[in-house]
Amino acid sequence: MRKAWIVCLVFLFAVTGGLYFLRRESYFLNKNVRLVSMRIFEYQELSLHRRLKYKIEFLQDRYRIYVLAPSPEETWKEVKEIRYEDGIETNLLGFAFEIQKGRIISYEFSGDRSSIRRQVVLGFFAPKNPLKQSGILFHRDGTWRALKR
Amino acid sequence: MARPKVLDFLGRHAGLIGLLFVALVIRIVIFQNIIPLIHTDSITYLVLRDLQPVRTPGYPFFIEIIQFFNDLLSLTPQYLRLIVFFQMFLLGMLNTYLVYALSRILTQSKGFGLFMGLMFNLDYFVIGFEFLLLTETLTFTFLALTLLFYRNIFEGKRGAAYLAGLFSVVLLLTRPTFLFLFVVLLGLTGLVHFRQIVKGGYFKEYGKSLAIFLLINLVGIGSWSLRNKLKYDYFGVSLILPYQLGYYTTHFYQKYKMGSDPELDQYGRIFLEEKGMPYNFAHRLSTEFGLPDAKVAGILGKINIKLIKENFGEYLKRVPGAASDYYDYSWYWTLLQDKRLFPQIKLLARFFRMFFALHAAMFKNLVLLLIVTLVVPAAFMVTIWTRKDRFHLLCLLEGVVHYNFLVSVLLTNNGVNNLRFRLPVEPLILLIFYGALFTWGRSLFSKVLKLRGSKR
Repeated sequence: MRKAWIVCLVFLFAVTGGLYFLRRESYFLNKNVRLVSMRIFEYQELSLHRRLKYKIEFLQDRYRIYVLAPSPEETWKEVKEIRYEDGIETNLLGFAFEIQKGRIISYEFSGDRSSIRRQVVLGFFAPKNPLKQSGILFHRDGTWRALKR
Repeated sequence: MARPKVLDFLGRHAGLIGLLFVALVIRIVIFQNIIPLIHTDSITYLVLRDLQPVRTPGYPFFIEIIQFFNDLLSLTPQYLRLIVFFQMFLLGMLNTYLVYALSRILTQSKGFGLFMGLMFNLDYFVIGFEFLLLTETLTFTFLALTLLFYRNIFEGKRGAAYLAGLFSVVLLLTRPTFLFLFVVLLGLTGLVHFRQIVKGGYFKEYGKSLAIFLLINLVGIGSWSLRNKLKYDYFGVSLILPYQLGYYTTHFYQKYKMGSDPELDQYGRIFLEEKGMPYNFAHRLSTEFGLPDAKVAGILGKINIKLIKENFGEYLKRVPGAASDYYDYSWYWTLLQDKRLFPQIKLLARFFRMFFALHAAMFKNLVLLLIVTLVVPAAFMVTIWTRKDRFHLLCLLEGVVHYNFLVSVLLTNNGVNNLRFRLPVEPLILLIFYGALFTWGRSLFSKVLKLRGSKR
């Protein structure tokens, strides 16, 4: 019985390791989208609970999260800066959105607040293989979802 | 012709297979109709690398493993739904088996094990947490595994001490409340086996296994504490305790007396300005003074201890309220889902409501609550006193139930959160209670049968 357990575990590790090497690019693309999505969930909930406004801004190789300091300052203060995984970049430089009361309330493109047509896709790609992409779809009404690669 | 082994296996375990099938069907029905929701606590578990010093890594690591395979295999972009899927279909099914196993061992009855397994699946108060992104479901899994493998040490099973120690460490790293569970288990074992220990030969038989169990716990706690020392300059499992105590002191924060400690008083002023709200106080200390998390928690802890020491009566006054909240019975945590879910699962919802009515009546009435949690377990202990294996398990289960109560109630006074803290031991409370009734009923039934037989 013990041998069977060990064999199963070794087999599982071997298969996982093999898949990781074969699907490394997809893995990091998916992981990147997942981490961005989880942080959007996080700040949506925080904006509801703490009654604060947050902004997430996407740059070429990183994204920044800001919080709007309460009055009288009313300036954006950086909370966090996070690099994308494994050298991944985004195709929508300067894209940002504000979160308030648990939802996305507005979009920005390089500092300009503008409404999007119907939807916009924040795409991520690895420079070594730019044809392989993953992303998050944002709708005009502030809803969003991660896209399956 | 010899019966195939598979058929033999299926025949012997038909009841369990049936129970797991029912558990699976219930979960399929529920899963199709729920939308995973996030709680303010949930967001602290979603990204392992963002782990805060108040949190321990158990549940975030569980989520990370699921998401690792999701990222690798491109399964789905519905991340929250995937976590809930594993909670329901992996943990939920495993928990069904664990409740069955513990119940069967306690009463030596397969039938009762199946009954409790079914009851577990119809107890919406418990299984409702399987679709919440909180630690309760995973905590019960590790708690039950710890108890089962710890018990197996005394059955002479090889490797049981290692597995019991491992699951105990993983349990406390999922829920720091269980930090001293290993002490409780060892202490109770010492009490139950006191005569054998005094007679001699006990440690020759079990000493090595118990030492392994103890050592694994100490190494586990020490390792995580060392990691916190290196990262946050704090040697401990979690910084959460001062924040939990803050739920008590926020009720009498205004009684904080200045003048006894000038260094503490500079923070005491801010504590008063923030009306004793622990997270607001912590936020101000970290932004205005630039203090790291460990230092902030240390200051908050000192202020809380000072307040409680100087106003012990105020603290004690609120303990019954915390206990009452702990033993409350409501579907508060699943309310948002119930409105959507119940119209879709009318038949199942009837069973859920039936058991809700029964258990709410037990828990919300003080006399019945005392009977369920104290009187019946005590009487059960007397009943099976001579059956050492079952008596030992019963003592361990009772020990866990009351340990969880004491830690949750004495350290936190936070309304519906106290109710949530009971969840990992709720199946144990019910299995002890129903196990006692079953044992007495079976004993009475066999006596009646004997009487009839002797009359003939």
